Amino acid sequence: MEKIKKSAESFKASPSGGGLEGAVKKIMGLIWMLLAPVIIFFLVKSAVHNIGSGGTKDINQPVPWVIIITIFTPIAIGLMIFGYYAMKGEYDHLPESSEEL
Amino acid sequence: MAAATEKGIGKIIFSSSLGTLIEWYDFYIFGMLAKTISVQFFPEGNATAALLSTLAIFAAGFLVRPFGALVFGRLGDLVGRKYTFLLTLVLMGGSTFLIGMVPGYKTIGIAAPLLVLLLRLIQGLALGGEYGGAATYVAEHAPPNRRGYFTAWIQTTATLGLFVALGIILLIKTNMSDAAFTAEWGGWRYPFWISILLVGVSIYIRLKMSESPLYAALKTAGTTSVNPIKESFGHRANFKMVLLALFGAVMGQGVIWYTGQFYAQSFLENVVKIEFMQNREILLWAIGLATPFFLFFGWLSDKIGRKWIMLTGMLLGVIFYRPIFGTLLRDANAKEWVEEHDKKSEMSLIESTIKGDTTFNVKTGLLIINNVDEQWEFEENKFIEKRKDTLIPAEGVIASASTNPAGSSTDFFLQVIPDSKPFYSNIELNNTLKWKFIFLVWVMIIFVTMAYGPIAAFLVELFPTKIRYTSMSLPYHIGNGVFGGLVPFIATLLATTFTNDPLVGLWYPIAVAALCFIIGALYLSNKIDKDVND
Repeated sequence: MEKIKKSAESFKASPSGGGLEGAVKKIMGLIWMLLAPVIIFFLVKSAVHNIGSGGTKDINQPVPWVIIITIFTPIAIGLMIFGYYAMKGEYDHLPESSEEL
Repeated sequence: MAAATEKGIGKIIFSSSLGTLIEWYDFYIFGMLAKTISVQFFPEGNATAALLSTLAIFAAGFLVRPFGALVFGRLGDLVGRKYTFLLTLVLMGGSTFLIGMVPGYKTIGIAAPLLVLLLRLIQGLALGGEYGGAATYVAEHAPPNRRGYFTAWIQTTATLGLFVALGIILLIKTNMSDAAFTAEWGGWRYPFWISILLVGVSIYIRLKMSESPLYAALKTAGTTSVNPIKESFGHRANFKMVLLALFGAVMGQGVIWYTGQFYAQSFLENVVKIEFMQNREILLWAIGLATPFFLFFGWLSDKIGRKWIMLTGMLLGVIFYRPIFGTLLRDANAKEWVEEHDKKSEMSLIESTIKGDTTFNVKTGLLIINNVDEQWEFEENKFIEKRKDTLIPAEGVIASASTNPAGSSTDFFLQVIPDSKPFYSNIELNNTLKWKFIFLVWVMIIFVTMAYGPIAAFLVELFPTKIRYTSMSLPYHIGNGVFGGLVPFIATLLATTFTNDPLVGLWYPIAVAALCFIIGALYLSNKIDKDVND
């Protein structure tokens, strides 16, 4: 009972944390998490498909792909972490002063 | 902490914006002169030079810019804003000037592309450190109710840098022949040399500036960050705001910025085939007329919040990119003009040139001219039709054609069969169409001003003073350098994979902007942080 009471209080305290909006934010968090490996998979697949296919464009050279995949992997991991935080409800309330950071 | 007076803030904005504008100018001239630079430093057929060229294009934007954000962001939070962005200015101006001084590949061999690559990487590094410093510096001087408007001046610099770069190159190019411009020590080097003058003036002005009052206060109190990178990305509470800034705002803004200006220019030149000078003219007008809107949307963001202005810019891009680019492609379709107007009966032929490469087949008696260039005019629109003509000679002409095919007059031939697949280029639009195109590009730059105008104030308000430079610089340069910079690469990738749709390349910016819009709409707050002193 005490737990439910506390949870209701925290819901009231958070301006956008509860209800449908909060649920959507959390569900979408899962989508952001899943999106990250999908992006990397498609990048690697496109790289394999285009490198050495006989073309002379940038997309047919290995160097741009190595650079892009190297820089995109941490970004995709960042998207995954972002999704995880969103799923955990950490964006339900955004800090209003630096003391909260 | 009291904000600067109205007169004082004017000086602060001017000196910060001038330096940032010059840095953007320096960064863009390399890209705009890429073709000439490639001929001078990265000759075709040399594998090492080709590799260095690819590195210069991709590594400077994708790897070094975010790295510069970290290096100089850290420095800015450790030693102060003023000296850090002075350093980035010196590095940028110095490396730009030196690119203009490197002898060509013909003179010093492989050392030429190596030096240019090194200098280009320094440019990327410096750019990574400049913007965050200038935006932070202005924001930390601005009163809370005018932060959006004052930082919007910094936001004009990227577009104005592009404007100045376009203008200077155009000015030099119109005053000399192509050969004089592209020679080893030709006119293409002037924009690089001009940079040192601009940077000199900017350094002089910036040296007179004082440190940001908020940072100076932290320094006096001894509460500056000891390890800004660790605090920015190692502390969960701050790191999650860095991620939110990137995925909910800057990622979408980056692709909108790039598509509305760079991609529009390259699309008009390479897909629509608008003539070189007119293409630049269209962009110059559109940029010039749209730039004040950076200030307008910065000002508006002080009244109604930053979030929905930025997100509306992205949403408009998502909705209107395909219709706008489709109109550009349809309205300047020379092939359609020819087909619709009874095979040129309503058009006037201005000039016809045979450019050699002519073969005569003795067995068939046919003369094939591979390069026929004809300039046509139609309702004051001009265009060049490049095609291959097959000529059937009249009796007695065969002998003369076989000895002097290029010089043979078509009058001696019974029939001329033009190539059924001619190639149309150098399209010069009439005044009405030209202004329609200026309007359409202007509309796309208005989307840029909406997404980009308020974003400096938004980023500044997201992070505390002691780690602000580091925290805002990295997402900004990933969003703009990586997501924005990838637009042409992914567009080529999509165009190669899906060959039937000339607008297929737009799906990348549309998808990124749509994703960013959803994330921003769900998770960002529209609240303006009144107090950035903390």
